[in-house]
Amino acid sequence: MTLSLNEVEATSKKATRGAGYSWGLAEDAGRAARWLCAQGVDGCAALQTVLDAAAGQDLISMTPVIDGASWVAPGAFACPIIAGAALSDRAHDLGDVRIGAVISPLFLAPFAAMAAAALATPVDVRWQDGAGWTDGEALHLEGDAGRAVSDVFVSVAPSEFGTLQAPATRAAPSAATWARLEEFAAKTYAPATEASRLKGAGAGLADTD
Amino acid sequence: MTAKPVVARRSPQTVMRLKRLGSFHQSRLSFMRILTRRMAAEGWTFSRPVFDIDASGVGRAVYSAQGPDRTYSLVAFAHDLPDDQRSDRVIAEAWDATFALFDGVPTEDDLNRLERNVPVQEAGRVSDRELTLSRANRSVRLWAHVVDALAAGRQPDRAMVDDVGYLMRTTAVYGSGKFGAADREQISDRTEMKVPFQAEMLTVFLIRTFVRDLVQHMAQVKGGDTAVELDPTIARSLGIGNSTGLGMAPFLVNHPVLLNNWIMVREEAIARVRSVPEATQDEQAAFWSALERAEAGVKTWQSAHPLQIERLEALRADIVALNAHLGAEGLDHPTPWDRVMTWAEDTLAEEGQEFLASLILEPYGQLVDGLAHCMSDDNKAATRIDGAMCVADMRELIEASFDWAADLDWSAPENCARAWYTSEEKLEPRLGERFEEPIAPYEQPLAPARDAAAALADLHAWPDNTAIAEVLLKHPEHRHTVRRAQMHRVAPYGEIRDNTISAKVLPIDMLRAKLSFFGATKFDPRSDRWVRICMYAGAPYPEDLSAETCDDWVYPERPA
Repeated sequence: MTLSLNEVEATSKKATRGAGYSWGLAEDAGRAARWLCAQGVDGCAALQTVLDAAAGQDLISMTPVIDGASWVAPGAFACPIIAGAALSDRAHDLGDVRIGAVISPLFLAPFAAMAAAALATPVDVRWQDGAGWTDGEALHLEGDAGRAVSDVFVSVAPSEFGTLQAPATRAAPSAATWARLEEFAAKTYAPATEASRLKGAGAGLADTD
Repeated sequence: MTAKPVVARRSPQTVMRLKRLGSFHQSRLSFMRILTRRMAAEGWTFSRPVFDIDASGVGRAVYSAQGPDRTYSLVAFAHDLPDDQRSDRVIAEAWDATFALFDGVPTEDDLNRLERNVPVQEAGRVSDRELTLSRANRSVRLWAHVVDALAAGRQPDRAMVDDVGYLMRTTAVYGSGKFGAADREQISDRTEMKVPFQAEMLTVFLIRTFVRDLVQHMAQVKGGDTAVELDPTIARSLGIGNSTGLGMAPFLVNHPVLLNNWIMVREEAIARVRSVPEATQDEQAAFWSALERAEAGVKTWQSAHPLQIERLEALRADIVALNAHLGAEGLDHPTPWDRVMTWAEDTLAEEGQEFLASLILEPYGQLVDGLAHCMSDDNKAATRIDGAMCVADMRELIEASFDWAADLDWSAPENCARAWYTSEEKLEPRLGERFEEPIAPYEQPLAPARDAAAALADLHAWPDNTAIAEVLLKHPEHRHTVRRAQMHRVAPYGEIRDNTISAKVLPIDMLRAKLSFFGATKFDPRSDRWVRICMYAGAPYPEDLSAETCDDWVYPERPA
């Protein structure tokens, strides 16, 4: 069974919200997971790693303190959704940046792509023994898959690309990953009560005539 | 020489109020009419390769629509549904008929795969070969009457047919990647699918044909040699009903660029026609004809909802006033359409104004139909936040969208009485009472005005020249508000200018706005958050689709 990219985005957005992020960041995380899947990369697994680590944590501890080219979160690791959003937001004056101890650094790639598209210049993201380059449309990956915590170096790099990921129109995360994202997403659903069932959906007149 | 007068588009301040959006009518730019015009112009052909329905009305059928480049096929499953399981609610689990729109012509294997999944709808899975997933229930009273009458060799009672208007009503038409179907992106660059919701509209067009064939089949089974064919005139008057709940309301708030494109296109069309310096006799005749026929349509529009009854009375009175006004002063004036629209703005209620606004487009297909291509949302870049924007500019942008809410006290219970949330069962969108139910922790971000007020309050603490990126790092809770406000730059009509969580909000206004762009008619609210409509009533069936029949079918034939 494969998933549509729309399903990936919708569930990722809800899962991120369910894990405690703001709606705005959840929107970005949904698009990021979708973008990775559209590059043929398992964006759902990359997001699951982030959410599993972030759930129940204070998001401020994962938010990088930005001091020029050095971005360091006060806690044990930095969140790639929060750091990624900041990268994309700051595309206008993006230079070389070092982000300390990012969990699931692959998840920065979609945000680097947004910055690259805005700058019309490729951006590369390097982590321990691996890297991703993007021109905003496509992605080249090499080395380590970028799931473990690692320091990350981001640079605006008008360099040549290697082999690009083959684009995909469907996603096929593992059943366990998808179930986990749905579990996070379910935290955004209100438990049904008989009163809400009748009132909230607005049923009133007979609907069977 | 002075330039010819050019009438500007109506402002978002005027157009984007819920009461006005909830008064919208179909027009030349409705998605159903765009589809039927295209299919006629391109000479689409239709076939029914499978119709395998047994004597109890159970089985499957395939209807194929072949355009210049591709074929799309409706796969229909007919079921024998016990009466006690028939419900329009999205939480239903069984239906009289279930459907998928297949991308191409399905093989036997495809049909078998779909037969395992489509009848259970949300509980099944479809694939990227399917573009939509849908289901429909019979109108019990009309279905039985039509089957019985035809089986007995009679035509059904015309009054009863007109009273209900359809033999089946759909309770959902899912597209855009839902339940595993193909993503919108997979088809959005196809000429015939570029306009929004064309796959969904094609689905319903073909469902209507299937339903006509199925009722005939059942009459044949029951009556044998005694049965007669349904009179084509009656068949043509039948549409497909649709019952729509709250799901559509969040859609409008969640797709500001798309909403903008629909509204802006209609406003541009209205402005173009208002700018026409003079109306030729042919154009005037086309308008009078459309008005007369549209008025006949309004006469048969019924609702049991007090609010809509009141609006219908006002609309009927407005049409009388419009006829009197135009009868007296005619259309032989400079910029006659601007003149009558200006008169209407001062004289008629919103229903009447929007009825007229849609109607003046009728004589001007050449001027407005091409705008259909601007109704989709291809602006992916609009979702990126420009973090370089300074706080002062940001405040200005937010205020531009929400100036109407500047004095609203968001702590007053009546201004935040409601909360939008998603229910755990069947993931149904609902609107609850914030102060009576434990739903606030689950609230969806569907109150842009309230959220904008909160963002503005925090922004006042920041220096004017600070980059918004810096603020967002501290205040991620304002991120969605900042994004929406920046979208406003490309989507001035993207924001509903009313309080969507007020104690007085009427979600049916949001539903009607969207359904009017589909081309729906006969809006019949069943509560403040649930509406029934009719689709394709009067439209030609595939075998009758032609240049003559493809467009103005939405208006009843001129009374004999």
